[in-house]
Amino acid sequence: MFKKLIITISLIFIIFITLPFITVFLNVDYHLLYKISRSSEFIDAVKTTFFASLVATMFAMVFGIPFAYAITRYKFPLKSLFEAIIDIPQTIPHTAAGIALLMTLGRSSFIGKGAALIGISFVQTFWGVVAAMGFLSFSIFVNAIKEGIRKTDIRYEKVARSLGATPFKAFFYVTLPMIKHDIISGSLLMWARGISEFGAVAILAYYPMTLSVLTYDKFQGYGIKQALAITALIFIMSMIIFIIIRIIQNIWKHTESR
Amino acid sequence: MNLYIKDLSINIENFHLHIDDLHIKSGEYIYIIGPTGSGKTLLLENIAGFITPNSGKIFFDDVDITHLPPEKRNVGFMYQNYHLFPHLTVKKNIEFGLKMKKIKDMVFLTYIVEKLNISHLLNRKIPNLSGGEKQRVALARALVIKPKILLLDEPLSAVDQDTKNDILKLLHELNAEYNLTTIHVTHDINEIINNCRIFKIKNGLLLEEQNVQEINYNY
Repeated sequence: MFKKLIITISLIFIIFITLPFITVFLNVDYHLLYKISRSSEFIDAVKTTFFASLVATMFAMVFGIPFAYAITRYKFPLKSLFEAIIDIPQTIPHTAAGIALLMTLGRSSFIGKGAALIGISFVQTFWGVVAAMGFLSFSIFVNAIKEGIRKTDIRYEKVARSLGATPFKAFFYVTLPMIKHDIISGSLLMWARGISEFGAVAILAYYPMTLSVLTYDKFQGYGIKQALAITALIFIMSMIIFIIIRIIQNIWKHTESR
Repeated sequence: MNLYIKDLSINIENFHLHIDDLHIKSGEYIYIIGPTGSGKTLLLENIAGFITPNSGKIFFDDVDITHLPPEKRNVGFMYQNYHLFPHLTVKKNIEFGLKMKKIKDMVFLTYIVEKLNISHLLNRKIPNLSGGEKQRVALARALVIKPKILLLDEPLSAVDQDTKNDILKLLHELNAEYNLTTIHVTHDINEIINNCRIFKIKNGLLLEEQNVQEINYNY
């Protein structure tokens, strides 16, 4: 009885998740889908979206791994506050985050003026897209790394120190390789989350258009038909990406277990 | 190498460890016994430099090493669960210390590997080793750097009785061969070899030196 109940609930859950996908593919105009897939506007949006999210993820690696390490391994004042601050972007509406970023990184802001000196602007530019994606998905990466470091026994580092490794070498040669799966899965999650970002991106950098902004733009300007075609294309790409990731993960697990 | 600990005091959260006076002679093999949570590992971690004491001094021969970082102490350390690096092969685990210390001499490594009978395991991955094999690899890793002192934290608690006897014999052979000062922490009195000195830690205090008979009676 219990088993049947659990399976039924699970099926309802799966249907709830997959129904919108099925609905999109049942209603899309495939001729229009093909036409849009070949348009430069769509291809540019794909490039901007994927590349900006990748750059944001790379920034997260540079800053997020040391931050997660400090939070997990060291005791210092205001540690809990720092941990909470990282999670704040997850809890606020993304449009509000966009407004905050516009004020912080806008042309008249302190950072905006400083960045302008080296030729970087965040408003309506690629770097604005990167900033918006990074701001809202950074915590996903940090939390994955924190979890990885937390479950890696600190005694591995201690043994490495006893064998002559400095703290940096113990981290680089022992901890970092031991959390590589967490780094990869955290990066993929952050990258995927960045791709789907809309609210903050639309406010800080409507142009160059990302896929989410392009979908919204087509919906507003041309109606459901065009937006539906782009939505179907996004679904197809997402599925291909996650199937490839799963295959790579399985190959990796298989080779590592031998 | 002589080890001398004087008035060592460590406070960690609600736990307090105090060692009045501990002098271990060069090449000596001593045992430290005591119940779980008594502070045995904490003492070893202090000697290794993983934890800085609140007060007191630790001397290697006549050199005060109390504030020397672990990588400069040249201490071999082996935990109960060995903590072999799972992302490295057996060979790379053993070579790790040599790489960190930029030692290029492979002759001693080959000797230790043969002595511990693990030559056939060198290309194996850590998760594929048995408990006894892991123990030998961890021991080889700790020994190839030619440590001044070997610290063993319950090294035999995770293996069967036959392996335990083999490794115990090997540990005492290595101690004799290299005049290697060794501290062996255990809660199993059956690991104690008769002519070794024994210390007992209880509630964070190093109580008294006892012989095997007394330990058997009191423990």
